[in-house]
Amino acid sequence: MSWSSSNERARDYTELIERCLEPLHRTAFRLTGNATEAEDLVQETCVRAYRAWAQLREPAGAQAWLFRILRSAWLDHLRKTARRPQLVAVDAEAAQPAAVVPPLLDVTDADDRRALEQAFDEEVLAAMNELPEDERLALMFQVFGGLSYREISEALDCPLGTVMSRLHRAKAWLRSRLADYAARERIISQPPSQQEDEGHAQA
Amino acid sequence: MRKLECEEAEPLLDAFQDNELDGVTSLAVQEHLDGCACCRRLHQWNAESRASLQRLREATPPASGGLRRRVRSIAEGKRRIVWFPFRRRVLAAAAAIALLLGIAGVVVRVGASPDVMLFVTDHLRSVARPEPVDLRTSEPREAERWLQARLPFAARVPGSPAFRLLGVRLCKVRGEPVGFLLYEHEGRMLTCYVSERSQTSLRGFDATTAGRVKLGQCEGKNVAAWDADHAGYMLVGDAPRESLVAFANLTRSTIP
Repeated sequence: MSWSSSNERARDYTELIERCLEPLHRTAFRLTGNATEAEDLVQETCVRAYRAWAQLREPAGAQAWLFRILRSAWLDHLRKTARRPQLVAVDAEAAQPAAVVPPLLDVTDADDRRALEQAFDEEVLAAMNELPEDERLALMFQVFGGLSYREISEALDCPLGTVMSRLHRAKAWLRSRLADYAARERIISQPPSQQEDEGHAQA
Repeated sequence: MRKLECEEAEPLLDAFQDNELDGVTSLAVQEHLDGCACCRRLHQWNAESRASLQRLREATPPASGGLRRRVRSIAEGKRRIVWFPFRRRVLAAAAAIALLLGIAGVVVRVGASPDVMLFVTDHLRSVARPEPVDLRTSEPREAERWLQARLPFAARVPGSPAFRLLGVRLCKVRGEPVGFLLYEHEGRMLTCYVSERSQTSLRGFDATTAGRVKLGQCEGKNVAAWDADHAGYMLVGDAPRESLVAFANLTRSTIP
């Protein structure tokens, strides 16, 4: 490697890291649920990225490439620790919860609303951690990494349609958990009305 | 443009909300939503969970300055290595010597092994976090129930008016799940780690009380370790040693 190409590589790497560190760290933090492990995961990702820099063909796809490395480092970590199951192929039909259409919450008091939101968020986080790893990764990459569907498909090395269905299943699962939570805590403001049911039938 | 049925529109709602559909499909979904109250409600619920995910995103702590420096230095380090192979060797040797001297210095200075340091490091990082616990609670029984659902052993949670429980979370130390309990004692933060394994055999303690509580100091923090009820306890914080021993005794008296 020449003096200048090494210099350019270091510069490009630094630029990419400056741009992507926060989304990368956010994702790693939520994946691991632990600040120390998240830092280790990000650092491992960056080391691998720098080593594999020559493999980066499209600068425009650098962020997705970085997340692809993050995924690989994360799966290696899982294999080592066996803390979570490996990628699980889930039958699409079996994984999709029944359509749940609960009513929206109607809380006007700001403090109540905040408390409710916090409880909801904890429930959502718990539900996310119960997802099969491939759906969890797709959702985490979207929410915490800020990746588009196309970038997720590149990072996870799967077709765009698969990304759509994984995200759809993941979000349906979150919805179902939120609905269960709302029902359990008796915070449902109103039951679905007959009119809406009829409307659904007519659509 | 063909009208969508509910079963066609429903799987597209997430992508519609994420602005990931092409123009024609997007219009078809919008048209369906305009005429279908049930899908509209589902769409609103999607917005609710989307808002929740957004809040979680915003609540995630930013990357630390240390991490930022470390990942930047990857390129710096590699660049030097490529330019100056000889310098690489010199630097590696100097780093090894510095590391050895540093470790020796730490051992001599505070009498603590890296094992005790693990807990102290975690304590320092944790109390610096904006949200150091996963469950905020002052109720020891609630924290106990929370831990028991997540740990492979029965972790008992002590509590007293003098040591006010603030919350609980789960962490891993040397790959093993450990209960993390945060307390406030006379304005100081104390972290109590409850593990399946005894921590009293770690190096780094310099005194042992009559009640077999091991005491030490590391990075300016007092540490204490003891066993009770088939679990190992490690307490880290700014409180004086007497307070740590008082907490340990309290643990033994409140745990059946």
